[in-house]
Amino acid sequence: MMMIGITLSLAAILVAWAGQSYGAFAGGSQLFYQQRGQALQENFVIEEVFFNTTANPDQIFVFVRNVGLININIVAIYVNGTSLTPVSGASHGWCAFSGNSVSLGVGSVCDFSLNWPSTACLPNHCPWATGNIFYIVVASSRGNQVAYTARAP
Amino acid sequence: MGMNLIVRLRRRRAVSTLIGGVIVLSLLLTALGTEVFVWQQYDQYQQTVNRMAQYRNQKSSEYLVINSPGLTPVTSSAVSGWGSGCTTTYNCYNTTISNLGTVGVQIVRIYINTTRPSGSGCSYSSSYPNLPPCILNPTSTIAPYAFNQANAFINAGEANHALILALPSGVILPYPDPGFPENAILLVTSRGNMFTFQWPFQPQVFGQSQSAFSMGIVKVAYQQITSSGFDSSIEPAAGGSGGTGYCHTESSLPYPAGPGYAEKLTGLSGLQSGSTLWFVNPWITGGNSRAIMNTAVSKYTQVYFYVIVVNVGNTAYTPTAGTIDLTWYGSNHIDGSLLGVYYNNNFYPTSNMISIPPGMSYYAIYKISIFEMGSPPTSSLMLWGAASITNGLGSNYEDQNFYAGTILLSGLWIRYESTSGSCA
Repeated sequence: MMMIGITLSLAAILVAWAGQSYGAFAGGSQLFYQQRGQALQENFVIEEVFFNTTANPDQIFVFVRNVGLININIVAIYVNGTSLTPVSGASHGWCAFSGNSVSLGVGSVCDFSLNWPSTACLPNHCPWATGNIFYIVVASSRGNQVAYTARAP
Repeated sequence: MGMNLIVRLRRRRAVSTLIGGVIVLSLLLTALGTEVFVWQQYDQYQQTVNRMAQYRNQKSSEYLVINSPGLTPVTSSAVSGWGSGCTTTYNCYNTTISNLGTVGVQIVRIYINTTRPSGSGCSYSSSYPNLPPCILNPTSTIAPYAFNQANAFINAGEANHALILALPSGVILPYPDPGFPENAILLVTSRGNMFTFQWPFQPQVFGQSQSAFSMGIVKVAYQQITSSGFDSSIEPAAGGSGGTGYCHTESSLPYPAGPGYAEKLTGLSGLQSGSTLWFVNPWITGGNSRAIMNTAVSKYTQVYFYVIVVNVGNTAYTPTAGTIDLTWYGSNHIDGSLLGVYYNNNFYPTSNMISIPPGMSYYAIYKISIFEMGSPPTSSLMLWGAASITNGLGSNYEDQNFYAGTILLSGLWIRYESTSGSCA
C-alpha cells in the first residue's frame, strides 16, 4: 500500500513537472512564432527624405509608410547614430511621438519632422553643409529597421 | 497463507504496472499534444512566411515607366469623375504611365522636387499652403495638390494609363523661377516602391540624350502694337479686364483663364514697348478676324515665346544666340530670334549673356518676326515646332516634334485652334 502511495505521489510530481514543462515549451514556442510572424508581417519604408532649410533649427522631414499587413509602432529614429524625437509641424499632418512611440496603421504614412540641433553636430558631419551624408534609421517596436541614406542639398 | 501473500503481491504489482502505464501514456499524450500544438504554431508561421514571400515577389514585380513627354497640360476644365476647375482654378497635368510589371499597381502619393531647396517645385501660397516637399495625395474630387484617385490603379501590362494631377493655378511645373533646376517627380506605390522621373524630359536626338541641353515648358506673351492687336497684359489672367480676343477671354468659352494665371517677367529689354511681359499658356488662335495669326491682326500684335532650358551637362555655358520657328505646313512661319535669357529673376540680352551653371535652368525668350505671320491656317494643317539655341560651346541644339493640328515643343502642347471653335 505504501509502495502504491509512493508511486502515485512520484507520478503526480512527474506529471505536474512534465505538464509545466510542456506548457512552458508550448507557450514559449507560441509566443516565439507569434512574435516572429508579426515581425515578419511588418513592412515599412522610408519613401522620402526632405531637408528643410527654412526652419530654425534646420529640419529633416522623414516620410515613413506602413506597407505591411499589420499596424506598427515606430519607437525610434536615428540620424547619423543620434536618436532624434520628432516634433510637431505646421502642415502636412506631421506625426509626433505619443509617449515613446507612434502607431502607424496599414497603408498610412507619417511625416516625421526632426530638428537637427547644433548639439547633434558630429566630427566631420556638422550640419548643414551642402553634401553632408545623412544615414537615417527608423526602428519599430518589433525590432525591424529601415535605413535611408540622403545627401544634404 | 504463503499462496495468499504471493497473489496479493502480484495484484499490487499489476496495479502498480497499470498506474505506471497510465502515467507513461499520459506523459506521451501530453508530449504529443504539445508537439501538435507547436507544429500548428510553426505551420501558421510558415504560412506567414509564404505570404510575405509572395508579397515580396509582388513588390519586386512592380515596374512603372513614365511615357514621353512626361507631363502635358489638361486643356479642358472638367475631368470626368473628378470635377472641374482645370485651366481656371487649377493647373492640371496629365501624365501617362505604362505598367510594364506583372502585378497591378496602386499609386498612393506623388512627391515633386523633394530633395531640392525650399521653394523649388511646388511653391507655398497663402491660398494653398503646401510647405515643401510638394506632396500630392489621391482625392475623389478635384483639389489643389492632388491626383485623381479613380485613376490611381494601373493594371499589369497596361500602357499609356492617364493620371491627372492638379496644382493651384499659380504653380506650374517646372517651377517658373528659372534659377531652379528641373523637377524630380516621384511616384510611391502601395507596396512601398518608388518610381521617379525627371521633368522636363531630356530631349532625345536619334536616341541620344542631349548632355548639355534640355528644353522644357513653353509659354507665349502678346503685346499690342496698336489698339487693334492683342495684349496678354490686359487679359484677366494678368489681372486685366480682358476683351482683346485672346481665346481664353472669350465669353462663349467655358473656362477663361483665372486671375493670376499669367506669369509676369519684368526688367526685359528689346520689347515692342515697356519692359514687362505677361506669359500665358501657348494658345495660338487662328481662323477668323479675331485670330492672332490672321494677317490683319498679327501686324498689330507682337508675339514672344519663352522656352525653359535646363543645363543638364557637366559644364557651365553661355547662351549666345538662337531661333524659334513654329511653322505650318506649306508656307508661312511664326519664327523669330533669341531676345535674351531670363535667369535668377534677371534678364540678360544677347549682347550681355550670363554663364549658366550645370543643373540650372533659364528662360530663352524669343521675339517673333511679326510680318512672317501670314494667312490663318485651317484646322487640317499640320504644324511643327523647332527651337534652337547656341550654347557657346560650339554646339547648336534643336528640339523638334510633329503632330497633326498641334505643335509639340519640348513636352508641352502648343495647340493651334480656331476661335470659331472651342479652346479644347
